[in-house]
Amino acid sequence: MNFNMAVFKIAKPNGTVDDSEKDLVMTSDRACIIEMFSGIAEITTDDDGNGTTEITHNLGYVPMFFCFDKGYLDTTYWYPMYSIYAKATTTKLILEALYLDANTTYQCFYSIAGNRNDNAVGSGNSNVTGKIKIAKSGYDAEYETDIRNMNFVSGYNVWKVDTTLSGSFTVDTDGDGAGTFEITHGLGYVPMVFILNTDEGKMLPYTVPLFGGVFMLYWLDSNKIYGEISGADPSTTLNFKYKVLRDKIQ
Amino acid sequence: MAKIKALKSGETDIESTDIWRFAFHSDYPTFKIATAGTQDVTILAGTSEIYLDITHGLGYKPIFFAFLKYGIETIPIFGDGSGIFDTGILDEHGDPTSIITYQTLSDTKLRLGLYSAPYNLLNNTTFTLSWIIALDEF
Repeated sequence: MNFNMAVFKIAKPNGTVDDSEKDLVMTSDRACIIEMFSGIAEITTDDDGNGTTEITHNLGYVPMFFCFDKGYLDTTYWYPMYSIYAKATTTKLILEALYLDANTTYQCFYSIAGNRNDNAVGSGNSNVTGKIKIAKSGYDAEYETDIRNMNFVSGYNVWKVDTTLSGSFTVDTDGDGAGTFEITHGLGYVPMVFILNTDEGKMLPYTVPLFGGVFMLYWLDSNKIYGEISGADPSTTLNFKYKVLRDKIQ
Repeated sequence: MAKIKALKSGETDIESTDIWRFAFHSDYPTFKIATAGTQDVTILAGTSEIYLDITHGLGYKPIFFAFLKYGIETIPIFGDGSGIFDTGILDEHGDPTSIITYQTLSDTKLRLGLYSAPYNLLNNTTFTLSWIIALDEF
């Protein structure tokens, strides 16, 4: 069988398919992150403030995943894996509250991909679905049944970046090395957002001040992205980039 | 321009302006995976840190996601401070030891690292790092 296939590309609005691969909406040569499971789970703590909820994925391998949680610092906002510890096994995503408020219910949004967390191929699952299917190199989209071997299927969600709402910003720290930021996305719902400190090349959050006691956190509501920095160099300009997805937390 | 759209299961309005209702929408780029992998790392005797440099060579800082596996559980790695707060290995006081992770992304490589805490108690312990690096510039 000949797998030397034509390449299917979709350009961004006002772009062309001859643009650099990174600037395309998609290309059949590259795997997307294919979301198989998502939702909001609740974790109720016991008298000691501990609690666990498990989401069964049964993929047979550790998938790529991401979570946002709500409720510990403020019941209005969503934080990127700040209060709830998320860990995956080959069958489950385990969401764990440790020493939070006792007898309290916390919410955690989860997004579990069909991609293995190293995007490796595999076999044994029958979970390919959708009318548009693009297989990874060496696999036949018509007959492939394991989602790990697919670059794209229309039967599951793929994360969608809003390039207009994404961008960059700076934060000027004060004499104590502290600062805040606030960015309006205005979507009317809480979107998934990722933020990178481009000076250090680190994705937020920084939750334990390892190096120089730096702490960086952001949180989200249906209108804005908020953030707080402490322990950074005093009176310094920090640089950030962020990606706003059109995929909805709540 | 013509658009290519695929609704999520259960959604019916192909003209909807609620983009979250779509599994795919040609106006909104997906993350396109450039490279991915996995590798075991071991904290050697007499040390408390190990890191792995992954060359992506893109010439810019890309979107990425990274993970640490210890035992049967895998956690995500963030900027600084995510980790496994009880490895199951106890220190001399009977308290749990921890692993603290960090990441550093440049235009050419991604560094994933981890520390044992307290210092020097997880010698010869092996962990597995995994990563997905997208073509998409952050």
